[in-house]
Amino acid sequence: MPTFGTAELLSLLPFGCPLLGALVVLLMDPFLVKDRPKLPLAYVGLASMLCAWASLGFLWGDRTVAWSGALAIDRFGLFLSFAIITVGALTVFATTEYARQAGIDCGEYYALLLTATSGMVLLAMANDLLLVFLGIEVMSISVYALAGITRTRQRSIEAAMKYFLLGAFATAFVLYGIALIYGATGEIRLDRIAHHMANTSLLAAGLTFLVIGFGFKVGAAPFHMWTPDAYEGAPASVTGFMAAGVKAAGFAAFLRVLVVAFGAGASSPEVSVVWTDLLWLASAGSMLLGNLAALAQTNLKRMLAWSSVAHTGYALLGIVAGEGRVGAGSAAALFYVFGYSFMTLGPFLVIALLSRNGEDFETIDDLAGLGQRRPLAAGALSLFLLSLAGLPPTVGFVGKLYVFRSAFDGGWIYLTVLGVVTTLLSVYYYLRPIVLMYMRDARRELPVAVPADWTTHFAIGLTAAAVLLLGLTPSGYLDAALAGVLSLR
Amino acid sequence: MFTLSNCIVLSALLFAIGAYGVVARRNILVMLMSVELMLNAGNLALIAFSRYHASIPSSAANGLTGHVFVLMTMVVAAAEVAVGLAILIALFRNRQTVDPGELDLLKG
Amino acid sequence: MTDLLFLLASAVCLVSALAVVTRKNPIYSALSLVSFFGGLAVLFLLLRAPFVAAMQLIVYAGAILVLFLFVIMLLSLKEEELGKEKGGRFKLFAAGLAVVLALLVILPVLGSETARDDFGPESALAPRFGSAEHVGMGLFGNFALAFESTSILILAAMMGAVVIAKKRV
Repeated sequence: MPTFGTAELLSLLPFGCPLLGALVVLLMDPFLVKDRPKLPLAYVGLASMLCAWASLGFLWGDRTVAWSGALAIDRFGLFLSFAIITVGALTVFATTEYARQAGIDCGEYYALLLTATSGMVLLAMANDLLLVFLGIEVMSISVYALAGITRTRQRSIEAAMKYFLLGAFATAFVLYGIALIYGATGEIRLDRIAHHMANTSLLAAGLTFLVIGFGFKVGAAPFHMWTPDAYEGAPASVTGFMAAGVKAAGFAAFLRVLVVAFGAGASSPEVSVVWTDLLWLASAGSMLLGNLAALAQTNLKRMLAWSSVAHTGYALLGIVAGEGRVGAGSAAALFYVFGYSFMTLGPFLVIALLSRNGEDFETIDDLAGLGQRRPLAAGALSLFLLSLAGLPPTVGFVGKLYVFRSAFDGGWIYLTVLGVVTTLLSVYYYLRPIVLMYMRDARRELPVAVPADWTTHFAIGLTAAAVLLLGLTPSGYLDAALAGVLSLR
Repeated sequence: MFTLSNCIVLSALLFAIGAYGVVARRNILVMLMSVELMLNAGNLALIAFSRYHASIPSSAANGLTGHVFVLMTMVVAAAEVAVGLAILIALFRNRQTVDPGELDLLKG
Repeated sequence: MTDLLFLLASAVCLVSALAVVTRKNPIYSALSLVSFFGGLAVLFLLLRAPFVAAMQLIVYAGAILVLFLFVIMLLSLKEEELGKEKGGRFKLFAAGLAVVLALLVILPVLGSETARDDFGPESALAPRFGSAEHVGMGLFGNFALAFESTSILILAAMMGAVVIAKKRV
């Protein structure tokens, strides 16, 4: 029987705090006055997130494992947990007004956001396949429910249904892949799988299933079909959380599994060829399909959904360039995901800010004239779109630069060229809303600012600052990303 | 006859049948049941590998992993079914359909 | 004897799995699922997993299946409300996909030349392998964190199901 001590208890903090917050929120909810904004719940949520945040700084240090090796406390997991918890905190704190107007201002909304965050952090820190599986499920089940939480709106419940069906399908693939990997090696701990002489063909089959399952979860082509529908139908606050948090956590687990268990240093190096082949195809497909489909969209949320497919492609390009080594390529992918989670959260917060009474402000034509009426919202949205397009001086530029450079250095010339070409293509659809906002007059009445909405303004400002700061002085965060990847070994 | 490879072949067949059900059927209830088939195929593979590893001295310590994993999968399956059926009930209240082909508000 | 039981249970599993995905009426699918779970439990017993076999029957056949039947009864679908099934060509595509998936696993299993054809001897297993006691030691030992984190999962599922299925705010 293993014994557990203080290290185990402390390692619970990053995901235990949000869980505790969820429980407190649920207990508080019945005692609050009905028909009033539920700010206290948001504050409790925020407080629990801040505790989790502080615990990250406290745990930051050399790699240790806890709970018989099930949980890894290393810079890699903590680095992405930092982004995940920030995204979760901003969503919980900044969307009270939106939630009130959409009629979802109930305890469950905040509690589900908190449990989802808890699952994401668990996923980012998981060091064995059992915990990876459970982390994915805690995250996914919370987010399925969140996507359909405006259950009287047909589009929301339709989005939840589609997301759920494909998510459950993907879960089965993940499980089957894990079963085969366990069969081939007898291990589920990532670091031990790497040092195990295994039945290679069975291991390769298991890895294929696992990559397909993860491909669904992060929305990589050709497993992306749920993304546009789920992003469009879910309420804007949830979509932002999904786009930023689910993707960051999914990539955390994806990258960790590939680098630690099936990376270049593993005892069956042929296996890393299997996943590199699968992933470069997925990367090329996602970049092409995501950007081409985004060109044709008239709905802002749907356009951002296709753009998230494209960005999955760029992040995968970083993973492919890394080839499972603990080096620049994997670090570029890690930094890309880190930066992406901020620049994709931003636009959805702006949509949440502009939406009224549960009807999302989402067609691109509606944006016309926003530049004069709501200069701050328009400015922030422009900044986020420029960052998504990969223009300086934003984090999108730095992230793409490092991914492309490491791909080029790794000899993936064609993929790099494809990445650059599709990026240029994407500038068109990211600039179109900006042109509309500043060059056209409003076609319909634009919503005026609600004074109570200062939290959303504050969160948008913070996200915009992060996008700029990461773009102007990226070196510290790049070093942290590299340290994160190095801590995997 | 009762060998590891036969057990895995059986589980692969069950997984494939489940995958066929999810892709081919147009009734969300049956699609959900097909997902259950796929998860159970995974469970069968896990238990079979568990039995195999438990009797090899070098990996005997890990023979239990499959059993624990299957119990966790059951929790996951139960949780998924609960949420999935809740979504289905809400959908049916709105639209009177269990056909994913009729979910066409979100397109483009 | 074991071989015969294995063959029988496998046949039951395969036939009922096929029935699940081919019956038009979801009630028949759900009932086929019962026999599928039963067959699987027998396989688990043969594979020396008595505790898991018991849980399989209690959780799947007992809880999950009842949930399915409950919802089927609640919706009480009429003939025209059942989904419009796709035509033969689409089914052929789905079947092709399923065959590819199956071959992806079956080929490496059959093609591997390592000694994977047989389970090790029964005598090599730990005493009381797969019993509640044995599995319980794992659940509260090496896998304690995973076991505890299922509580988050159940909490999330509970909240999700309640908030989505309830009628009014």
